[in-house]
Amino acid sequence: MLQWLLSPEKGGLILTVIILEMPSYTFAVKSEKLLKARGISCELKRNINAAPGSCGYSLHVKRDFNRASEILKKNGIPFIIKEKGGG
Amino acid sequence: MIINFDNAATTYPKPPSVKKAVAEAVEKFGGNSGRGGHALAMRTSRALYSARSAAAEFFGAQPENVVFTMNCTYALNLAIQGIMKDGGHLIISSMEHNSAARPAAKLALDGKVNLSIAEICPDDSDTVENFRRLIRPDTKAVVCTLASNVTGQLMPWREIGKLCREHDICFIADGAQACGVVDIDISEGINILCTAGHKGLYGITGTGLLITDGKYRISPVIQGGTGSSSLSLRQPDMLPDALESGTPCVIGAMSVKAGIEFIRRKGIDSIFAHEERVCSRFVRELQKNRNITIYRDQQSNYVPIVSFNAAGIPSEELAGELAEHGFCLRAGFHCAALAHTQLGTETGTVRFAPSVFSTESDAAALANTINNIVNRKKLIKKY
Repeated sequence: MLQWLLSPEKGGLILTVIILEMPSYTFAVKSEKLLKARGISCELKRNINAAPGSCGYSLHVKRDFNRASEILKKNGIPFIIKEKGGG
Repeated sequence: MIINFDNAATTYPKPPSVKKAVAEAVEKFGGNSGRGGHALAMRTSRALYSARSAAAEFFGAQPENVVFTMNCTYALNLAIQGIMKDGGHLIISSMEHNSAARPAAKLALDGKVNLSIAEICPDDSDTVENFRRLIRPDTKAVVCTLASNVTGQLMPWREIGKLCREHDICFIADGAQACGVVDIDISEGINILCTAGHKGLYGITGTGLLITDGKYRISPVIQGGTGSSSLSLRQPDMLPDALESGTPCVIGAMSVKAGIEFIRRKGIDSIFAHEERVCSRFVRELQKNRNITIYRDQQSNYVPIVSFNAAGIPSEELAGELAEHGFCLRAGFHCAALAHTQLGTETGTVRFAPSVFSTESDAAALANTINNIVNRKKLIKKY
């Protein structure tokens, strides 16, 4: 899915931000710390429209989406790619 | 004058940094953690995470596997009831505090689990063997204190953990008397560590921790608001939310964080060494009096706690007299029916429990007062 989002030629968007919805606030802050420690710019925000299984917070990742996704997966952090902001 | 030697119940005084952290938390962290996106809620949520993270690092766990509770009893209840929800065989030790023994007994009396009690011996290998002998194919969990709250005897917890791992049994450890004086990393065999925040971790009362390695699912016994999956009537499965319903005590959590930082600065080994020096001095002074029994065995290791009795004087009477001299010691049965039954202490014991702030000279003054009281009472009886 992430690859598709990153491929404008396949109908995806050119991303400037990707929003990762988190299942718990603890995971949200842990994710933020993990990504920032690895130089990935991100911001923790309250959701406007929270998905049913979320904690109401999401991580707005501004670049290195694939790397961010891999880091979170590697650390066993569940997340849902909810929205993307186009450029 | 108050000289507190009842630190096994709760430590007092608290370090200045803990008092400061509490005041700061009251002042700044007035939001509801994990609920809401405004500045106050976000600031409070981050503060709670920082406390969770500090506890996780201290005990070798992941932050999401740290659950804040109101005390160690609550944590033990969550663990025991949560693991034994579907029945099975449970083993507890003969030195358990009622915080573990009562929930275990309740499950057994209700016919929900089969309960066995492993006898703690002065020799560690005998103790481990007693646990081994009781293991059955349906044994689901072993509950053992890391150190007795009555005698201070340190249990062979790494060996018990190893035994549990070999048999795929969940090891639930009660760390109330060991955490803060013994270096504990849950990766050394503990699946679920339950502890108080207000004892050796120097937090305020009303704080406790359940820390898990995540291997065994703990079924929640309390359900409610968690700030997550709010539209679902099902309790979230994910830790810490699954076991942390309702508004958490952020002020208490921040006090525990400050307490942990205090211990790190002091050094856990140096805290243990200091408190053990205080205990040794106390024991040396008491041993001069042949009418005093000290419940320590040369074969065993101890955390800095000393239980004792004076011949012919009920423990509560002796502690009452000491209180008149300003010394605070806990007497009686210390909420430990099993331990006192095993020790055969019919009127309980008097328990001496120093903290990092206790001094050898205060311990010597206490021992001197005890000796005077015992000698005086002996004289009165004689005439």
